[in-house]
Amino acid sequence: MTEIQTPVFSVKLPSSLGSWLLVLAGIQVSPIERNLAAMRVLSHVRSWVGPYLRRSSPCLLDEADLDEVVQHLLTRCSTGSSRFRGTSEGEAHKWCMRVLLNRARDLCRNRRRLMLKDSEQRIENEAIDPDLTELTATELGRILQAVVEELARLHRPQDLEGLERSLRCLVEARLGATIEEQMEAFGFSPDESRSAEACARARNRVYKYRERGRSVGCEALSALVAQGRFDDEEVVDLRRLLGCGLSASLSVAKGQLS
Amino acid sequence: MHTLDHLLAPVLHRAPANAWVVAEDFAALAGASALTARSAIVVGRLLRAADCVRGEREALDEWLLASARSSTTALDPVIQATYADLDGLAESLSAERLAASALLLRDEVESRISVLGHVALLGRVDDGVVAHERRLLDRIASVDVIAIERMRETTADVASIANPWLSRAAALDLSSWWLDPVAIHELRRRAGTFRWPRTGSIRERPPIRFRGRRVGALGPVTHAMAEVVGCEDDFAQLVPTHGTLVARLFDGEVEIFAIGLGITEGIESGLYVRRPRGGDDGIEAVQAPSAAIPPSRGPSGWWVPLAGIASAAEIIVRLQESGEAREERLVIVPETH
Repeated sequence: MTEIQTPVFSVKLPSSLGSWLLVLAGIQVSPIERNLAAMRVLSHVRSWVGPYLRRSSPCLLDEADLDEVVQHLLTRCSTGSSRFRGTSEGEAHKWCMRVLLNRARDLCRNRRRLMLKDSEQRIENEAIDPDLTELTATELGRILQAVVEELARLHRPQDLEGLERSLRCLVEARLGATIEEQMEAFGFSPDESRSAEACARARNRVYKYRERGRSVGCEALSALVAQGRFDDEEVVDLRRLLGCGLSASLSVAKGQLS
Repeated sequence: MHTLDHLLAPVLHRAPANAWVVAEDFAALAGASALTARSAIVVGRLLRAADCVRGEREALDEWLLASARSSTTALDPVIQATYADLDGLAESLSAERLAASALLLRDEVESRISVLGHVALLGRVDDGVVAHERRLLDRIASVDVIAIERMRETTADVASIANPWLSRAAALDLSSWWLDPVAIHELRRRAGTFRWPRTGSIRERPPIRFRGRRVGALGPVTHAMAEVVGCEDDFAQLVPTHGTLVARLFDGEVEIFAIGLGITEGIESGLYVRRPRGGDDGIEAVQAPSAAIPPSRGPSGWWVPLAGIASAAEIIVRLQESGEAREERLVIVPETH
């Protein structure tokens, strides 16, 4: 989309970022309309991407970098199957910011690797560095603790214990706990038999806990970011651990089908 | 017309961004004057990762257009291979455990479909390409629905796969089902020592915190609301765009949204108080006794400006329902660091 085509006829488009993104996501929309919407997205995003990434990006980006970042957004929103499918203007902004920030992080990572290479240092796999592993785990724990505390402002006191349990169920599953382990830990009631029927019930209960854990965890994480307690860059790992982006995927795919 | 390897040489050799390019990719591009099933994957990856810089992008677009226009069947190898891969993918989803190869296959389909979409968007190409893109996206969506449902019950076997491209794609995209297992696999390794934090029994409603210094520095900026005549002072309009739910009161009967509290906002900061489905029915009063500017009632909710609040303050919300009046309080704390 480097070369935006000038439409041969005038197409009336709605005037918000979310609507343009939806036009770009619409597979029944003609290339001309998609092109026009891409042009609008480009000019909208261009107006705020610089200040946004200056605050949020892990490294300093120049104009050429910004150009690359915006191109990535245009590709994401106009081609392939993971385009924007949200329902509100807020979601549209957040979606764009996330895509832009991920690409900015990618650029910064590459730059870091390049510097290491230039100075002839060995590129270590950070996954096996015990200090970094410890740091990631500590950081995840710190933000998760804040997420759990946040639940108390978002939910009724009588629900908190169950919600924390759901969140823990999800996090442990994402970190590798099997369904069988989780059925034992979360699914069966005390003294419940292990009949086939009880097992099916326990399994469903675990799936339900995981889903509820995701929804309350992601909501609380958003609340923390909205208050400026953490910035987007700090919560990337936890957002990924909770699968906050994934919950939208199913509705996206279903939306596409309908 | 250049061959693909010649055209893409600067991009493909620009380390380390393209550390994922393997010998098989170079072989697929060597001497290629038209897109093939394999070379389309490489081009798709370059497009998805926005690896081409200005100049390279234009040259690639020109090449793609020329290639697509050279014959009505120029893109057939790409299109047919994508249909075939989708069939293979649908079949592999019925396996007990999702194989790593299925994730890779789905990603390859994504790359090819991105190329087709890109070509369609460049314009002036055969309508058949546009129609195939639509049809393929429809089929991908039905495969994705099955896959996402399956992911609830099974974990994908990614231990056997060490694919630098998938790792990179997973870092760029947090929402695709086939990239999630790759990202989570890496996160598990990085957070190997993680233990659930000791959360104790915090049951007190915590205060809402905001960056006091930033709020003080910002004046009221109303341009974001001024689009609808007559609604210039209705902060409800900002809720869908800039609002995030930060508190529920009265067992969820009243919701409080934070607007402009984060470090990335550039609008007036405040809290918006309303009913879950919008409106302020029954919310009789919202008070902030120590606030410099008192809360105000808008057409569909209450606005609590945070400018001028220099120390911890209380917000009192009164709800009148079924003849009964109730009151709940929430503490807000400005942070100066």
